[in-house]
Amino acid sequence: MKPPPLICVALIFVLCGCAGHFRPRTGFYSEGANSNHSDPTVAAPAVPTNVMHLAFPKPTLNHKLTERAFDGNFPIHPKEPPVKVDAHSILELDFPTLSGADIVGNPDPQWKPILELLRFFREAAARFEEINSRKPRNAAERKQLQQDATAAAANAANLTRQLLAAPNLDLDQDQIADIVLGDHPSLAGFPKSTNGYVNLGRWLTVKLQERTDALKALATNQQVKVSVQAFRESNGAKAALHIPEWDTFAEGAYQPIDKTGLRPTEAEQARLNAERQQAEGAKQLVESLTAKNSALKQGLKTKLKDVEQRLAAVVDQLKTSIAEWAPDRFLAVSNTLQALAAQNPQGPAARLLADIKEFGADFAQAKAIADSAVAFVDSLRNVNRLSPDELLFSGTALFAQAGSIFQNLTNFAARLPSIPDRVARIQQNLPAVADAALQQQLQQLLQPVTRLTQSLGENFAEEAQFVASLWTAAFGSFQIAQGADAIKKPEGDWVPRTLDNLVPARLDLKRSGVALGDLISMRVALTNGATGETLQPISYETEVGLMGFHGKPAVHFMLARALSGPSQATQWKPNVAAAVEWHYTIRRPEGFWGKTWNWLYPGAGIHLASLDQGNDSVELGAGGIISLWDGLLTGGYGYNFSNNPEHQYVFVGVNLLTLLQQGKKQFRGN
Amino acid sequence: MADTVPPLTADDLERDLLDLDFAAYWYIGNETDRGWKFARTAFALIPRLRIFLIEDHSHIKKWVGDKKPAAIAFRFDDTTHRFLTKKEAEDLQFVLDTIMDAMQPQ
Repeated sequence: MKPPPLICVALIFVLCGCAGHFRPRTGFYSEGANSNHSDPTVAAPAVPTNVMHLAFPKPTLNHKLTERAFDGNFPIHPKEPPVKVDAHSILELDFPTLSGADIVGNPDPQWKPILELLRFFREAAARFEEINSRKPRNAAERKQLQQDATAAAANAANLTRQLLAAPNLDLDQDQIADIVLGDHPSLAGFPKSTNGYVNLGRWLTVKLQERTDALKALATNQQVKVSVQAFRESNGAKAALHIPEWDTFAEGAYQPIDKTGLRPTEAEQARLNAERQQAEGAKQLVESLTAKNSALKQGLKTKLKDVEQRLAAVVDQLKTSIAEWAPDRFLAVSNTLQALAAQNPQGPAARLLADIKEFGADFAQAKAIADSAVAFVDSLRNVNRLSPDELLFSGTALFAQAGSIFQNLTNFAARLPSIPDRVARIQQNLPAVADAALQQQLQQLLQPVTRLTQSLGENFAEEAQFVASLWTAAFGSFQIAQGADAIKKPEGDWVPRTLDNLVPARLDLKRSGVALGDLISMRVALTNGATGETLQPISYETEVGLMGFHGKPAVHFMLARALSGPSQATQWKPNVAAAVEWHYTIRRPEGFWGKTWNWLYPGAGIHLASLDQGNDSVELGAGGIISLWDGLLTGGYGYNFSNNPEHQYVFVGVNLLTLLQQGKKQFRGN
Repeated sequence: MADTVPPLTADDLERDLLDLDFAAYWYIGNETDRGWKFARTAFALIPRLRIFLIEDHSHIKKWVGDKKPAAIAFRFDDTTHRFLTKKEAEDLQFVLDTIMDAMQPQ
């Protein structure tokens, strides 16, 4: 919306008022609405229902993100759950090519409620004058007059209620009264009107103009800079991605993901390797649990006992260290700091709040790890009593638990070294906060933090890593990404750009070294270097997939058995299979069946499996495979090439990597 | 000021109350009171409302007797709708809601 209509609205209000009187007399009022008299028979204007959502315009960075793919261009919207994009596409962020004022703009939804409210004030002002000027000549006219006045009173009460409740306006009763009476400082340049709606309209117009001016100043300010960043999250590890002209990272030499699924890229190899390690770990665990061989069982028990004891010791250490943390005290201090920070967003209270919040997150994470690990240690103690399906397939499966616990433990340990710096920073900012009581509360809050680092000591990270490596040695790697909370950034840095120098940001997924299933996020931020004002960063979340008909390699853990033969062959036994499955993804499905198809993500293909159904030292089988939910559940039929009496076998299986992701989600939920 | 009692008298108040074209709201206190500010706010938002500042309580004994309300809301006729306490009269939302209720047809 452009300023001219607003100026017109402002002029209407400027021209509308003059000094007033407490006693409205018939025919007395001549101000404001004489040129705009409402028809007495017309109903009173209704108070807009969206005053509650009224917000003055904030700077918005106009831009759009588009997926440019082989089958067309598709817009991507922020704040959506990750939308699947084709691994061969380009994610392109465009800005308007006009002036800075077009780039920093205000989308209609923000202006509409304000314009509606201005319109209401104008109509209510006219209605107020019209009702006051009536001269009823008989009982019917008097009754109508009373009804209309009552409706106007109801509107006034409703309006005040909404203005008081609107969180974005932050008005109290006295401020509303000052505005209505024309005594508010922002109305100093206007003659006072006895018509409260005239004063309300002027106030809103002034506020709107102030914000518009601030936006214009922002748009022409050379200190305002835009940054665009892209990140890849793969198996819990985050890394920054290169966007030409928006950073100085090295490009890297990557090959695109093969659509047939037969030539995996380097990133795809890494994914397959993780899948293979997990499948083999699961196979080893199930073999040990189901083996009749007592030595094998004892070996497993010893390994698990080691993990159990070391992990229990680490958890005890963690629990003792966090016991002193008082969540109530933390909440009280945070609330006080929050109130102070609202008054001065760049002040010491805001800086203290940021650091204190991090401590809150640290302790919450430590508690979540301790709670989950206690349950995990219990599972380890009872591992002999658990069935293989409980160990592997349920939502709280041992493997999924282990992956997330060790990963979070390692990440937490990686955060510990930064705590002393934060404590020092808080001590530095503390004297700047005038409130002595708050200073004391903060000092008290710092005591458990300091003791946390002291009690956990420098060896905690090594101990956590050691327990994780014990598990890894026994049952395979779980992609423990060290310090995954911290983003791995290549050599170089991001390049923020001024508003008059924006270029499209193009992230070419073909050349970004991504694997299928990776999460790719793009983040756009606007910062005013002069005032420190930062626009809420806008994030776009996407998931790398392949659209249309495509192949995907995978490694599955499976339980296989021969269709007939001796009991050794017909027992369900753990094995590992490599497969290539072909899928079809519908781009932007609209109907129920299309959405269901994509949700099921069914696949069919071929597999090659190592088997254990006869006496041969190496048994290989091959055949068909079908899968659902991206390989979470698989099944198939194959031919065993070894020298067995029965060659045909069937299997069911899972993709443990997918299961691990679910375990991580559950951990985050906890 | 013409809307203050005194110099207006109980007779003036009574004459105004008998005017069926207006509802009325009296505030008993001083000109600098928060309650009077909110009374003026109501006057600026609600048509067909008359407000009076009663500085001398003795003038309104006829309507309040020995009670000491901080404000009184009248209907379109001369009947009393509600006496407000000081706390109620210093709540803008309460004042507006009370006047709205007072204006409702009986």
